[in-house]
Amino acid sequence: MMLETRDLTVKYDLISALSEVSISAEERTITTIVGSNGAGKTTLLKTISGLIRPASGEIRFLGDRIDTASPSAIVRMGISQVPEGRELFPRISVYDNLMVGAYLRRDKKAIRRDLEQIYQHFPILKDRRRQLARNLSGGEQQMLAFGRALMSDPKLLLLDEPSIGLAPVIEQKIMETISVLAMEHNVGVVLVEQNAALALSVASHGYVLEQGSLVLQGPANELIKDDNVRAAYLGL
Amino acid sequence: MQIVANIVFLSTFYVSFAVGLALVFGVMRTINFAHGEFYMLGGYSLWLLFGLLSGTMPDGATFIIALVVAAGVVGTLGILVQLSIFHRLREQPFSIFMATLGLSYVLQVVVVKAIGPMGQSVPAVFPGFVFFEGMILPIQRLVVFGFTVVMMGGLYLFLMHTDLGRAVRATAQNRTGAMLQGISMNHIALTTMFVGSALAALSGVLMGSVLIISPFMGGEALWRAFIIIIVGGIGSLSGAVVAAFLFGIIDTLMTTFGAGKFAPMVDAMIMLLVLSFLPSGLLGARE
Repeated sequence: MMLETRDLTVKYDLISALSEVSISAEERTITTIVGSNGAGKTTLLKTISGLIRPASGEIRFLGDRIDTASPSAIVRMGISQVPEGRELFPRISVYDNLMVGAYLRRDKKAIRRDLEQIYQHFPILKDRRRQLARNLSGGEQQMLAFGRALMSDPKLLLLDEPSIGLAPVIEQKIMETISVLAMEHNVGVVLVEQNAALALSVASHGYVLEQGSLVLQGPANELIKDDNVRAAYLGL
Repeated sequence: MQIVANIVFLSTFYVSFAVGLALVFGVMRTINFAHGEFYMLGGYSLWLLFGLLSGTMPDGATFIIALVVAAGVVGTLGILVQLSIFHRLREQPFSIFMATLGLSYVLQVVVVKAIGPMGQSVPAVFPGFVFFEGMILPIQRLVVFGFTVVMMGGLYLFLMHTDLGRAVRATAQNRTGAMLQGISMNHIALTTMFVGSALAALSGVLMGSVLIISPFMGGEALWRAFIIIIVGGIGSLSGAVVAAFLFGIIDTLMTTFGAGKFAPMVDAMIMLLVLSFLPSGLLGARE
């Protein structure tokens, strides 16, 4: 098991944002966590990245406990996140944004190679590499956030609502790229989405989070047929 | 033409002092109220080293040694401020304000007790004048100008062309984004405080070679720098440079036409004027 959380509980002041959440994710696999706004999806990813400390429970990555590690150490171990709202660096260039993603790496040649690969996947980023990140369109910014996360050469990629605010065509393109990259690079993906139909269509395993607790889990192709999921999240 | 030369000299001084403060504020989002005293300590490093080394080596060498020593010592002091004040009191802006303000008074009193309240001056390291196109240019001022340009060039290269400099800029623009790339906030804070404090000390050595050095020289410089970085746009280094030249021009003109004593008031009014039309300053990011 690549990533595992066990009975993870996170509190904001006294209110539980997550209660006893246990999930696992494997390499070369897309695992999705669906749920409505405020269900705790973003909190879960922030906790895995070390931005928030859990009140109890544990997080293991490749067998090691990471729930007390610093965000920097967690990136170094191979977990990279495309956060909610993208969190780009608005007033530096597209190229600089990508290179900040490689901040912890020292293998210059491999960094060059990865940069070229990202430019191949998203040619628009190459065309705009000298522009400031804030001058990109929403879809381009999402590609940049995605490319920046890949520049750390991650083993596990955490994606927080990558499709939010994007046109359906770009949404599809991003999802396809995620699938391809997971397979090509042996990367594990944890995909958090409000758009459950989209997420379950690319994922192989899914969890449903409601008000901080897991209510359902299973293979994505079964969840998508589940009556409760269809009623609550797919609008069917 | 003499006015142009005076404007350039005054503006480069404003730049050299304000940029360090702008850098620290841009990255740390807190003000180091002892920044002015770090500048003052730079001035005294020059004075002390002159007393110690005068006669044993050329004055030019003493000047260079003073630059290196002041940057190293005061930069280290900046690291201590980061560890003892900014880090311990993080997310308590009022406590940081009080602690660094307290430190600034402590440093003033230490210098008054150890050296005395009177102003000191250092003999010109590079005496003489150059006459050019009707301008009288003291060589010492030209040297100070040259060193300021080199210092700013060095800062530019560091920020724009090194991985660490890029990480510093990224952190100033988006802390959460930076943390998610594995950038250690402690590391960036220590780097920024070292560089920002060393810049204040370098500015102090340079200006100490042309001005009177006194325990209270930091206070006035600090308030002038506040006005400059607020007008330039908080956190924007290029804005600070533009505003430094703006006030360099205004203050020089006012002094030339005999209204120098009104300069601080006029500067403050310009700040209010800029803020009422451009709340984030001339080149500040709208956040």
